[in-house]
Amino acid sequence: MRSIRHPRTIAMTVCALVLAWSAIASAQPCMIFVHGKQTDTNTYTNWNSARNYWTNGTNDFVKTATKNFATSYYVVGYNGTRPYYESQSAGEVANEIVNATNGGADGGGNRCARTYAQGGTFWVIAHSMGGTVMDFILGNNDATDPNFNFTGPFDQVAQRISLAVTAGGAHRGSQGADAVCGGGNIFCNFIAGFIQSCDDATYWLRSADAVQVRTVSNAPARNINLTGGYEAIFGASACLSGEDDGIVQYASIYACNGSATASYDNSNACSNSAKQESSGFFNLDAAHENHSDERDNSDSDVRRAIPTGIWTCSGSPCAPNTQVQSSMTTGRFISILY
Amino acid sequence: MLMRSSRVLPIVVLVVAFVLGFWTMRRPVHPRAAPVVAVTHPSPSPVAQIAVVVPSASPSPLRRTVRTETEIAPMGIIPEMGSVSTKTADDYVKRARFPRSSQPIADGVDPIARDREVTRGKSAGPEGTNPTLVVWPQRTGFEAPSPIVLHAYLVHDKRKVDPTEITGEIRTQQGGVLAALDFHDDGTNGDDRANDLIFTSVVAPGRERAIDFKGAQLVEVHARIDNGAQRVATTGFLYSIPLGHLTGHYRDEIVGGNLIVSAEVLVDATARFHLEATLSEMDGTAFGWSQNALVLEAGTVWIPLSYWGLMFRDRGSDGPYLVSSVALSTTGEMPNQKNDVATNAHVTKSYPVTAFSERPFNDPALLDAAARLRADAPAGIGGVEAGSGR
Repeated sequence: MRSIRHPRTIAMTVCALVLAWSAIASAQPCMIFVHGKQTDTNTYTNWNSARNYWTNGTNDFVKTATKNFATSYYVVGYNGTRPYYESQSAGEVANEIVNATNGGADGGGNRCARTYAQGGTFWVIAHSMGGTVMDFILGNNDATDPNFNFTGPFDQVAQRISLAVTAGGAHRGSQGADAVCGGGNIFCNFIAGFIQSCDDATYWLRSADAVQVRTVSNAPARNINLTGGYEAIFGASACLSGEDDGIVQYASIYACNGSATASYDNSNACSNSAKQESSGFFNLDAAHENHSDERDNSDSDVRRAIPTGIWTCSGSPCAPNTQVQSSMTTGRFISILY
Repeated sequence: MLMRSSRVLPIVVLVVAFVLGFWTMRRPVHPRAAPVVAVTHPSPSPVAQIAVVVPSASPSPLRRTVRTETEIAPMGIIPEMGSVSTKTADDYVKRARFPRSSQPIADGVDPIARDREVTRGKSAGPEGTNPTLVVWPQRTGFEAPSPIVLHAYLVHDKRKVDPTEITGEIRTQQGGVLAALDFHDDGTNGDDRANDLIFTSVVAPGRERAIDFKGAQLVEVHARIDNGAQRVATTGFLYSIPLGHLTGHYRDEIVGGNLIVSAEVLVDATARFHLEATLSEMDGTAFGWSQNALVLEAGTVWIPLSYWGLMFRDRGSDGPYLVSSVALSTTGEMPNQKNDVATNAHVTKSYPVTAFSERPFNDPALLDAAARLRADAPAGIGGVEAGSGR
């Protein structure tokens, strides 16, 4: 009798703990990850490639940002070789986000704990070109917007997500793309970067105003919170204005108004009132990470305050460029935002 | 007795677990509650399971912008973070007072002008050495059949220098060459002033070649410098052939407590059109913006723009108001085809501010998003202490 009761007790206890755990997970936002520019279509055709975008060896951004998978999540894969507005980029991302909010699974079987109908909340975490894609989606969600639902259900995405966080977002394009598309400046070494050639996506990620997402979108319907890196990459950073993560310059990472090639650093990065749109963009902080580090959790490093950022010191905003953390990855940083 | 207590145990565990679960639904678990950091003393990771992965600190950067001041939070001061959820919810509630299509302008910056600020393409030598080639279009876009005007100069530190030669070409997205560029600084053919070291190149596609230039085109510019070296920089422009045009006729009225400004448009062919306009005080200070988008057939039509009444009440000033910028574009294709902006296009009637409604829009989608964020936000008010470590 005793030998039967004991396993039953254990089973019921486990069951209870699982239920309690799922209740904990469901009270938190579901994290939806949107990758950046690609040099091939692998992330679109093979979900594992999209998932691997967020890893580097044993370092795993998704694992860290979701508190060791305690928070439910969904990894989006789209065609990162196409311009940000197309059906296989913005359209695919929008459709996948709607799928996630309906409780559908990503290519790896991961689902959000609560659907939108069940009261769920959803945060989009986007890196690099993923930021540009989200700008386009969230800036064209209303029937009065210039490119309303241009290639996907942007209105549903805007209704359902709570906010977005971008790391190294190419909101104003990349001067690296300028160099690659401009006949190849031999002094810029972008060979290791994602912009090896001037494909169609790269063409639309230049800093020239004619291809800027802000010219074909309005202010984002849901807030986009901005973080990024300031660790240079030898060669490449010489072609970028001010601080940069080796691929994207600060003017773009922090969605600044004015010239996309203006020089900014941690002390004078554009504030929340000087963004590319009149509302919807907010500074978080800056990390000593390069463009890859921002999304693969491989560099636990210094974080610094930037103007109108999220860090406070003794109740007041920390002075810009103040070191606020000595060792923290962007994945870890996101995990403490919720 | 033994049997009974054995049955009670799992029930107690279940009850405790469910209570814990529901409690945490209202008040999520936050590992960040762990102590922080003194910035100068790395602390252990507050979340044990994350310690499985040990990212390494990056080496020093090879090139960095010189920082004149680097501050470290003083000992005893613990950097904290505000709640993103709470801040975002507060912002949504504020924004919900107005419809997305009709927004007040708090900072006086005209959003139509802001979207058309020109970015200058730059290219320096190895590791950022002098001189730097700077190149830009006169405007972000040109409406056919207007000529395309491009500028370039070489700068050594902050001083412009004379290049041996500046040439370039206009290329399409597919790489085809549309035009060769020859830059000059002689004060003629579009160049503002001779010998100011700002070089100009003008290309006039005319009506004949306008269709070839239509789209977002790339400009690549080459400057040869004294030692024979070269700088290559890029910029770009939008060349538009829109299917509708503002006629210059406007009208205004108050409907339901809101100001409706309508613009007359001559439509050449059926397409989707987007219209936006900025409203300013008579001194030019922008305070409101509105947009609309409609599919229109060929002919002359009016597109209405609604300025939500509350923005006038918040502003507190009587009319007349100046329609300071009007931008029409043909959408439905990428890139959108943008007309040149009409400035100071219309002055409204002299409405008293009390003629406008004070009611907020109460955008239901934004209010719902705010409510959901607040339900998930950490309990308590104020900042949430953040930990360091991985």
